[in-house]
Amino acid sequence: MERDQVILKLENLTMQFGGLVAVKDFLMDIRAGELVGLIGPNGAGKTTIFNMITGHYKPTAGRVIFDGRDITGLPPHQIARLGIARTFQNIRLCKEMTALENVLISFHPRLRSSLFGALLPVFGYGREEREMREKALGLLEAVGLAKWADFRAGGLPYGLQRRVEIARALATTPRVLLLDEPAAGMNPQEARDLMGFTLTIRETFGLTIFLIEHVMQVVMGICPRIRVIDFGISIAEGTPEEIRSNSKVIEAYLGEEARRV
Amino acid sequence: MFPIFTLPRSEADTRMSGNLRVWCNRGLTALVLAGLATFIFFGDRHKDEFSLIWRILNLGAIYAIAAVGYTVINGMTGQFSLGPHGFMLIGGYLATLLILPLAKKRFVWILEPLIEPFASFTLPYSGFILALLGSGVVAVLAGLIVGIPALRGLRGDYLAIATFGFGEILFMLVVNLPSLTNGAMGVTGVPTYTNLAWSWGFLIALAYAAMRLKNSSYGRALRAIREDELAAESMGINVFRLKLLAFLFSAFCAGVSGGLMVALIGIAYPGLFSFFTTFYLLLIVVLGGLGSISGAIVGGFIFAAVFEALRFIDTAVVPGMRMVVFAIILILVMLFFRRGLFGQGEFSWDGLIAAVQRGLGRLSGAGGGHGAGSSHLKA
Ligand SMILES: Nc1ncnc2c1ncn2[C@@H]1O[C@H](COP(=O)(O)OP(=O)(O)O)[C@@H](O)[C@H]1O
Ligand SMILES: [Mg+2]
Repeated sequence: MERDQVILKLENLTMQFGGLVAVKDFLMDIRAGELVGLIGPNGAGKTTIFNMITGHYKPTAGRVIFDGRDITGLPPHQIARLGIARTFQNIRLCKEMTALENVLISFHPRLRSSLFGALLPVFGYGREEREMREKALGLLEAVGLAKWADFRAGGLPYGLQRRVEIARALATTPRVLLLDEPAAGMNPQEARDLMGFTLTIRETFGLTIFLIEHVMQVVMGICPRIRVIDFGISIAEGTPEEIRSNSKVIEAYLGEEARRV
Repeated sequence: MFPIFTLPRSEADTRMSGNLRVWCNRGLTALVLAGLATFIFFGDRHKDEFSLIWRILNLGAIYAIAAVGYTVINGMTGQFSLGPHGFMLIGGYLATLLILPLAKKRFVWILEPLIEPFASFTLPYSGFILALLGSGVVAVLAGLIVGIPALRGLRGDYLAIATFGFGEILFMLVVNLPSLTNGAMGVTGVPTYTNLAWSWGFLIALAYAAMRLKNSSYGRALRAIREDELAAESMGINVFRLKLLAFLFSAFCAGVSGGLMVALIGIAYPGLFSFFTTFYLLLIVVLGGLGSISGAIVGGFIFAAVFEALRFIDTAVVPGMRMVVFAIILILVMLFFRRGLFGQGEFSWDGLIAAVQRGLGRLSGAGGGHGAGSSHLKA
């Protein structure tokens, strides 16, 4: 796919939960290789948009077009296999498994061995398992996690867990990566490190990244284009400078301050 | 320094000793298998002299087979099934229909004749393996009927409800399909083909398959489903298919187990496997450690031994009292011993050697306390 071609097209996505309209008429074109930020106050509908893209929610209305193909309503595992990977706002690692095993999970959909191939010792499953492990180790090394490979994922410090989760998403060989508040719960320094990390993997893996953030400052440094939503409705889009000075955005975030008090 | 240059040396070292260790372990396993084969051979030849022990060893293997399957779906995959007794019942009846001699078939089905094709053929002893495989396959077919609708739903308790209902329906079917099952009267005179060679042979084969499953990419996907279904499907895992796979594996094991049981005790009747059987299996897999194959095997044999040892309670006190005892044991295990004997882990020679080293170290004083085993532990 060439750069600048639209890879993910969100057409009037709407999600209604009973009487609550969580997202209304969300429209967006994301081009290959882009790094787009999506920000908005708590409860604005950001995660809901991700869930509609990944098939966890079936949109009340609208379509998701990935690489020219309508993927609306496909089950999550199929969407993942097509090349859209994600992380979760509350890290969802398989805590009792090692970091390496977490990455290996993502290789399973592309396993060549059949079930019987894996159960019987004569079909060379051992070789495929070794290959997968080497590949997974290579990936962990590429993201600077090699020495944590055999540690229980749930026992790692928070920041490392976040990276393992991203590594696991990368292992699905995605073309689009959705990151849901990756810097949540981090101190400013860790958040900056993570944003640097995000830029690195985008280059290394040739990714398109759609990034949700709650704290505006975090995305300001790295996303050339930012969309802002509030109460499920897009209120602004533009460069960090444009967003920073947009009165509607300021109002929305001030509104949140007020709501919090 | 690049981290890449600090790794290889130590890596290579451990890999060398690792290879040696693998071969040592394989040697030990081969020795044990040879020992087992000898034991099975002489055990079956002298079964009349040690009939109680021989019976317990068979029962243990039969429970262990069902428990190995049960721990794959309940423990490894984390899907709560209440179905094994139903699959055992199906397997038991299929084996009955396949191996009951023709003369017996004419004699037993007096009210309603047995339907074809079962009325006109029977397998000789040499076909017992086909009967047992058939028991497993028919249980798998039943498993498809229950599993496909029950596992599609997102809610975890669907499976428990559906499999519970399945067991009840199956009981009614067995009672009310006399032309197939001879109804409530059951079937007597089933040839008692089961011996240690069959029961232990199938246990070894199925436990081996379960271990390979657990250590493969499939097993990893199953464990991922247990830990976080949503995350697993987001990584491209077809959660439904894998749950079904685990469920069908457990059904196959239960079917074989039922076939072996009928051919051990020589009779089949509707209440042969009831909800109590599933309850016992639950006790076995929790006792062994949910998700541990080794635990399911050890648990199966412990259960068979204790169950026979406590037979006096039923005869001396009140019939059915044993069930109460086991209910109490299950509650105590759940409360105070939830990890079971093996946790989710497995028996391994390394683990055993490390344990022995620790034991010896403790005996010989403070010096050897930290054996090779403990230095492997991380985090
Ligand atoms: N599954 C659901 N059922 C009902 N309401 C939901 C569901 N998911 C999200 N919502 C509601 O939709 C709104 C947007 O939520 P969310 O997308 O999680 O916000 P954000 O990620 O921007 O903080 C919230 O009011 C939330 O309560
Ligand atoms: Mg959110």
